[in-house]
Amino acid sequence: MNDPIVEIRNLGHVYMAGTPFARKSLDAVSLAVAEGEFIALIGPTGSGKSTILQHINGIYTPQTGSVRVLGRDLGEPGTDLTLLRREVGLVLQNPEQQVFERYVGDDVSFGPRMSGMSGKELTGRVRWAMDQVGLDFKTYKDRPTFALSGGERRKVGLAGVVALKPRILLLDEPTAGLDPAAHEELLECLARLRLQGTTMIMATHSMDDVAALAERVVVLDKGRAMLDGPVREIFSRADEIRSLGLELPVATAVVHELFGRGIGIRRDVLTLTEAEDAILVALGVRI
Amino acid sequence: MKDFEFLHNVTIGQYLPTGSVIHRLHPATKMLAAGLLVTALIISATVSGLLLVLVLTGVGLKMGRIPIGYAARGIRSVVPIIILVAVLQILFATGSDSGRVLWEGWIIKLTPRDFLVAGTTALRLVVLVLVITFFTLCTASKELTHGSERLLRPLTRIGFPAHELAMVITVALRFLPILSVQAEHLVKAQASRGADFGKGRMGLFKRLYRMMPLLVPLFIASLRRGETLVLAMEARCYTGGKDRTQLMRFQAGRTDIIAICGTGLVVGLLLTMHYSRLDEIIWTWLN
Repeated sequence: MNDPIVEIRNLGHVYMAGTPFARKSLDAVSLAVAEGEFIALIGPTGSGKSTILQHINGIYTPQTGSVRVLGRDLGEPGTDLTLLRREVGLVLQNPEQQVFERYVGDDVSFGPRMSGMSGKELTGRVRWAMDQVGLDFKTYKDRPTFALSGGERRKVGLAGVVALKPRILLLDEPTAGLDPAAHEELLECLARLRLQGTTMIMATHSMDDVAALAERVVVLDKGRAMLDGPVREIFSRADEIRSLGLELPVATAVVHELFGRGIGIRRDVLTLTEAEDAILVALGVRI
Repeated sequence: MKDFEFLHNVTIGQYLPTGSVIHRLHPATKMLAAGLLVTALIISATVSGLLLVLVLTGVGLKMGRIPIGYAARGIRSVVPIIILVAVLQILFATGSDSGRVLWEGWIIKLTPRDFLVAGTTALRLVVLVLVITFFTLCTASKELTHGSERLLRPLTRIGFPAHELAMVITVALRFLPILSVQAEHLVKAQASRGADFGKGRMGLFKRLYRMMPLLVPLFIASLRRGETLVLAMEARCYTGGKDRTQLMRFQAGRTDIIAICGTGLVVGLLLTMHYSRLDEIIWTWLN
């Protein structure tokens, strides 16, 4: 592995520390991410996925353990977190609820404006970001944000972060609650960003999204990293995944079920096309 | 902003269930007692009186099994206000006494009495915050509804909408923590887009201007939430009015009588106590 651009060591975090409401969120998580990787964080609700993401862009600074991102030690008091956040974009859950400007273009341009961009450069950047998420610049830039559909608003929220051209993009359940069409579009958009070399870390409950996009998956449970490895390998350990209360991608679940019924079929399957192939091979239709 | 956990240092308005004697008191008792203490605090002019309430609150916290350190944490956030008020008192309060003058110039006249008044005011605010914190820590918001409804019940005879008002109060209180969590979420989202909150260098207007992106979505979200709530209540055929019975019934018992009598006694003592040995000592020491 190249030099990791994110390096988390034994990170622990307690919410509301020092009050009767204290709640442990991270126990001792270690994680290293190389440039250009697409990592999925999966785990039950409350397993610490969001907390990890919020540590990587310096929303939280480490209480115990250490976090190094792009060569900066986030535990050090002198670290300029505002500068860091411009390179490490975080799209929180339900980004559509964070849209605040009246017009789409203004909202997308908020980040670059905050970093001092203006004029032609700013317009160019906004156009680029909107292209990335699949919003036509001409059609949408002057559209009032309240008149958008849920899926469109989410794209605007995403574009607002993408507009910073972050080297690392952190996504917290980016597809949750979208209709199938919007879901599909969003996946395409993430794949597109991925191709440009952006490092991505995505927390999600959708195993199909993981299968479609990620190359590595980290399984969290009760603030600890339980499994960490290539997607195909992790999902082939069906029993371990299920014992943590998690699901498999639909295609993987289908072949596992068939295997369980005594059919000789390969199980390292992630997508529906692969499942189709595996079934055809198992039936002897295809070799 | 270093700390994104808004509720971390806010103890006022929090509820800490410990199931103690104090918690089990009838809500109306708690409200009445808190009301009495607050009134007494505002009227009382003596340091010893304030200290008496402070001690009483301490005893109450102990009986309520609430960590005193935690309750006192809430004072931290009002310290700037307390200091401001104290300084204004020292500078501009004009004592009518003809005692010693420490310094005089322009419209400012400093006398020992100013310091005494400022000290008393500061102490009064501290105790006030502590009493209210204590009250909310041992009273759940649903109890507030029952309590206020019970206290206002005599007024229904002259057509006062006691139940409706109690409902409004509950809903408003219920919204506060939700709003706070939402604000936290928004601040994180804005920070992730390179907005720069916490640094104290900017002026008031710039700071307010920076708050706009926060207030707009917060406002919209609360309106939406309010609308959803109304729909949900309508869908369950909610109607107020005097024919409505309650799921939870609170019975006032012996402890309630003791609590009210105890508080009444202290407050009575406080109001009749114009002057005490302690105040005399402080006064002579200042002169």
